[in-house]
Amino acid sequence: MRVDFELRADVLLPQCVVGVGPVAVALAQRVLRDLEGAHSTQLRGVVASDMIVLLGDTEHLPWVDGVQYLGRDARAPDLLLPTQLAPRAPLDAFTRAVTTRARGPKAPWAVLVAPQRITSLAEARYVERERLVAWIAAAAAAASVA
Amino acid sequence: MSAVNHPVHAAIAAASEGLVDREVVVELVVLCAVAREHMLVVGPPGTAKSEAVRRIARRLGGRYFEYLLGRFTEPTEIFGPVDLRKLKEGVVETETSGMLPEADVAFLDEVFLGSTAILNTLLGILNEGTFRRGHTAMRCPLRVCVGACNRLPEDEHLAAFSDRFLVRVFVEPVGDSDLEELLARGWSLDDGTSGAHASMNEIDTLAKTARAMNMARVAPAIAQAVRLLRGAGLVWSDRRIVRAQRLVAAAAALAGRVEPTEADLWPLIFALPTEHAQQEGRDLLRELLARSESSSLLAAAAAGSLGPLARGARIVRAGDALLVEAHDGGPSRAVWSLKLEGIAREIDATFTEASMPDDVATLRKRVAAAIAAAPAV
Repeated sequence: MRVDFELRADVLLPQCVVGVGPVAVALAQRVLRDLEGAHSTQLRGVVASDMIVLLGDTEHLPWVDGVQYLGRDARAPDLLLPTQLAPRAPLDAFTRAVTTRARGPKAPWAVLVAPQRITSLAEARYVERERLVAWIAAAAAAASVA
Repeated sequence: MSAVNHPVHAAIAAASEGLVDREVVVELVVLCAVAREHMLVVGPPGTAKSEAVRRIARRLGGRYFEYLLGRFTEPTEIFGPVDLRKLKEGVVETETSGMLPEADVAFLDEVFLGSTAILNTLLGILNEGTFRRGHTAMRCPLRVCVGACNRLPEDEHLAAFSDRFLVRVFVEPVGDSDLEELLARGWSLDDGTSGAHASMNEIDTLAKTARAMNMARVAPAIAQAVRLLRGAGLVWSDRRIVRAQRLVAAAAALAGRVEPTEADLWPLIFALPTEHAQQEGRDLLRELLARSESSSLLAAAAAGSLGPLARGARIVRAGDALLVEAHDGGPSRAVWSLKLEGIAREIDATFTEASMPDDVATLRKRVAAAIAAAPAV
């Protein structure tokens, strides 16, 4: 199901920040810089090889150039959507399409428009220093091979 | 900006300084004063409702009357005592000196707790601008009455009185992200001796300008707004529809325009009676309000329309102010850097690259450069 997105009038409150590719590495380094102790008490997240997705209160979401912010539309509580955009399709139909297309565990789902990605956040856990350092090292190694 | 707008703009800026998240209240008091309409501020106790009104009244140089109503408040406490000398002659006249009938700006806290006698007399003042009690009948100079309450009344007997407050604004306690700013500004809040930046003469001139405006250009858009709202079950009374035009004209006058345009439609949102209706209204009217902007009422235009121009203008103002602050290092620099990130976050969460206004894009570049040059400690 191809869905176009349009600008929304009611910008969503950011509840999630996403970095992809080099932006993900910059985002991870930014989080690491402020991380006190072994793990965060403010940010939970999931990672892929080239992506980091972090959940938290708006004021705790870090900024680096190139990240994208997602928020929740009350009419589609299982989805985290781009804060500035809304799908042109009815939200209940869009939610069904997302959950049908995505494989893996449950809601909530982070929906990115560019690049097009759907990521489950069901397994999100508090950011841990050790895992973040390892992820940055792996990302740097992958970048040097590429 | 005209010679009349400039002092009013200065008064708004001075009144807003020191307040956190209450600029909309300050600006709407001015809008209502120009439109000769009244305003209800709904929110929990301790959310600076009276402070915001008091500050703008002082900066506008008007005679100000403020009172906290209770169930046992006597009419004499609001309107003045009976003139005993006249009473001996058999004439019931009220001594109104220093009381609400002689005020330019009034604030009534817990407004719906007033007795029937008080509310009935207030109804005459709000509706016709006339105070009547006993043998006293006088025109009141009142430009705006601001009523405050914790929640909208459910009692149907209060509906007629409540309807006289055309503009509604709903306030909440300051959010977590603004707490440090609240503490800092609250500590340095002025002691009430700052003088006026404008006068009621400027407000009256703007009101006259607004009343003389030709509404023909925006009438179709206002009618379309009413149709869209009715289609969603948000029904306005005919009186409310007609009077909402005054807010649009007042917005145009305050923006320095000679006639209202699509940029001045945003006050329609604040004429919707409930918080839920206002949220729905913003969504329903988003295309009509997309071009909203105001040079004088930045926060209110942004809050009313959620339109990109208005929102962008507010972000640019906040970002410019933050970039001007200088920090030499230490914890304050780290806090400043976090605030810059907050601005960058708001920009990127509000606009796509394609929808970003030029001035916001310029600010974004400056903020990103400042963040890169000042990493967190």
